[in-house]
Amino acid sequence: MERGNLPFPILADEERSITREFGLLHRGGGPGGSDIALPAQVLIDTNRQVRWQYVADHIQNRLSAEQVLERVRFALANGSK
Amino acid sequence: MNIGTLPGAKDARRFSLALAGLGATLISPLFWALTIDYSYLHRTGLIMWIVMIIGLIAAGMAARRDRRARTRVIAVMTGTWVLCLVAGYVFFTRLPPPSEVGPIDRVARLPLSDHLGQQVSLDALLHESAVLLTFYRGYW
Repeated sequence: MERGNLPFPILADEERSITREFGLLHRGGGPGGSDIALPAQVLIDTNRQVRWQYVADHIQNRLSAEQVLERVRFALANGSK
Repeated sequence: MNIGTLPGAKDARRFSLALAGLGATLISPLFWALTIDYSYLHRTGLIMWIVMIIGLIAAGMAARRDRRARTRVIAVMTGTWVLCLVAGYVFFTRLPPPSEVGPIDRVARLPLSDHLGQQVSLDALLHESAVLLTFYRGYW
């Protein structure tokens, strides 16, 4: 944050509770067999609906920032209530 | 006749070529790790595959001409290592599928802190605008 001046918060989910609630917990997948999150993006709108999500199937399959932005814009522009 | 064209010299060069081929395949995964900031290269492992194939061809070509056991052993080692890498890349990078998402209302009220230890409320953020949560898995 100090270096990058990021306009968004970086959060710590130490208990993995948020990760677990989103169904993104990879048991034993982390260092030393610890539980870790799957690489994922979840877009939630103001109506508390999940409008889009991406979960990696292989560790190297992560979306670039441009790809994420494109999908977020599309998801928010379509199916508005 | 000069020393560069003695039969032993050619074989020695081929052996070196085989070793270079093996070396290239051994370090090829480094190129995958180094391209972590380049989305397309990292996802496909392109540079790693290119270096690996070049190494494999080099070792193979060397073993074809130089029939000595030592060169063939190097070529076999190279081939075996490439097979291991391919298997690893395909099978050992797999992730389990996600499970069901819980009700967002409940999740939004769970306590969360940021990197400074300050409380952040997902609930409050959702009042303002849509939220994109990125689960950054900082590990393999």
